[in-house]
Amino acid sequence: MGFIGTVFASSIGFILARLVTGWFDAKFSKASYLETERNSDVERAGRLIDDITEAASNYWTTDITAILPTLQYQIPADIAELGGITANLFVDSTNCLSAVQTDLDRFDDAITAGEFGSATRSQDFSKIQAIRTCGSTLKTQIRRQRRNLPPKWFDRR
Amino acid sequence: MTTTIKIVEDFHPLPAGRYVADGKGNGTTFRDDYLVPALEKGENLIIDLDGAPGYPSSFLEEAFGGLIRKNVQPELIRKLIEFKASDPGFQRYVSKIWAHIDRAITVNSAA
Repeated sequence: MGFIGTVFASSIGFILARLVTGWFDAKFSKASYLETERNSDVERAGRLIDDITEAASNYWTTDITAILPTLQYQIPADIAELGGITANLFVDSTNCLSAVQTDLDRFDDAITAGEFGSATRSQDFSKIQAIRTCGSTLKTQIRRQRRNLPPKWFDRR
Repeated sequence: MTTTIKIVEDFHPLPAGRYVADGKGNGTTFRDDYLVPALEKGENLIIDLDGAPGYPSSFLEEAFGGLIRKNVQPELIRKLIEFKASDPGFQRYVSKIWAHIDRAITVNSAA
């Protein structure tokens, strides 16, 4: 092979190598970004669970006449937002989503079942322990199922 | 005939509460004024859950579990009612509604 041929073959090799490394870089960056997004969703969900737990504890330990009327709308809205976060987080895994939603339903029921929203409800201190336990279980379940998600590095999309 | 009920537009933008005294968006009113009349006419119902800020369990239980306590036949509910829930995370409410109906059937049959 002459000099020109060698230069041509080297150029082709160089271009191919750049294309392959470029493709890997792009895939790695995208996967890293998506993994970071997943982790921040887990943190966001955890903070939301804490906020809901606190609001729900206030709701059930305060007399109906002293409670902010908007709280009975705010709490279900926050729970729905939590449902949206977890549905998006576990969109790739039905098993993970199902496990999380079972605990989310328990958390939801611990707060909004029974006389929630009733104009005549009375304080119910017995609910606090159940709300906190369900909230804590839900947080643990979200973290556990996050670890069970297949890494985005191997995602074909 | 199929009727679509979009809860936030046709009923109330903030569905909450169980009894009439709990406010305009309560589950009893939704059940008695919207669900029962349509089911009695034999209409197919599509209940559109989207757009609401959320649904407390007390509302869902009274509106849908309450159908069983109102002696609406479970087979009729399963045959005529469908749900639309495309907002993120709202599919969960459909499962919850069917769970409330199933629980009400169990309680009713044990009584």
